Amino acid sequence: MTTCTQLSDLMPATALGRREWTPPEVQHLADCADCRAEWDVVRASARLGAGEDWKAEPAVLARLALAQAAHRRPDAVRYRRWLVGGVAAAAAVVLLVLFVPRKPRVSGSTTLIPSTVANTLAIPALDSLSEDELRVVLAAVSGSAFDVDAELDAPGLESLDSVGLEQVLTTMEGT
Amino acid sequence: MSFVTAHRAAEPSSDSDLVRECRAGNEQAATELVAQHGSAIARFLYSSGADRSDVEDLVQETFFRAFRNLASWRGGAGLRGWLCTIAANVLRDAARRGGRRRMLPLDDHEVPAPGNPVTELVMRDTAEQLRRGIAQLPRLQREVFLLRAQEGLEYTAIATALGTTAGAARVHYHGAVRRLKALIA
Repeated sequence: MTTCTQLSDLMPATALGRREWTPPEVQHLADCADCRAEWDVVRASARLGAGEDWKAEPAVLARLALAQAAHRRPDAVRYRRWLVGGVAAAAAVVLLVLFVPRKPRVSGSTTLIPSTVANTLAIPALDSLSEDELRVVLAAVSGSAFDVDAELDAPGLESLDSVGLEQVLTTMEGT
Repeated sequence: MSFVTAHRAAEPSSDSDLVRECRAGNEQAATELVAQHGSAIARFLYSSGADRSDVEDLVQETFFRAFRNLASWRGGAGLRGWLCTIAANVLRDAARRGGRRRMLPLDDHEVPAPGNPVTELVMRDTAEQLRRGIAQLPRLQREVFLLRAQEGLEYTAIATALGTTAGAARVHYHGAVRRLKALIA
């Protein structure tokens, strides 16, 4: 008897034409609306962009890409980018130290910039940084207190064993 | 001329051979590499939400970065998966530079295939809806999903390419499927 999990695992290869559904699998698809919906998604995704004629001459593209790769000096470029990132990180730290008050002062002659204003200060140099460089800045500012991808990609999955992953899958599928 | 038809080698070379030759500066090997993988990379970028008119530039940038970093390809992950991860980085950088304004324009058009016009309209609409949905997935979900649905890679190969585990890749894939099912239901 074919299960939903078995059918799901077979969908990509079937959608790509590397195999065909067997009669029991066809029957399961006919009986299971959830699997049919998944099959619609996988089949349509496998075809995305397939009808397009991507105009490019491989020889020309290869020559261009090789020339670009040879022209740039990766070590120097990488060093320069990290240098820019380091300077931006230092600038961000200095700005935060200067403008973000640790405690509101009730008395005294020093006028502090309100934290709401400090939070909206633009740091244009950050716009040109890559994600890795921005992580350096974030780490400098927050002491690596959080991971910017954590919310989106849930990287903690890597640390789960098969039982834990199964529980996540079960929760996700609502079964 | 398409990536597929533009170049035909007498005997297909393995990715490892081609990479070794490329690293030695063999332009013919580089051409073969582009011919073998260019079309798939273009589809990966397009399916990830790249504007149709930007795809070829993004493919070029992908191969440029790949050729520059061929030494870092270990062979453990298939070359296709490795190239797709580079393409995903290229797309992310392009989106950041362009503020995503070149991604998925409303007037995007595809050439319809001959047949029933109503059915084609529905299919085209669904495909575009799906493409938008894929583009909005979290990055790992999107990459895992496309490597599996378009390239047919196994979870272990996907995990190697993306630096995660096979179990996590499976969870990401099903997370993507769940979201996309809800989108086009």
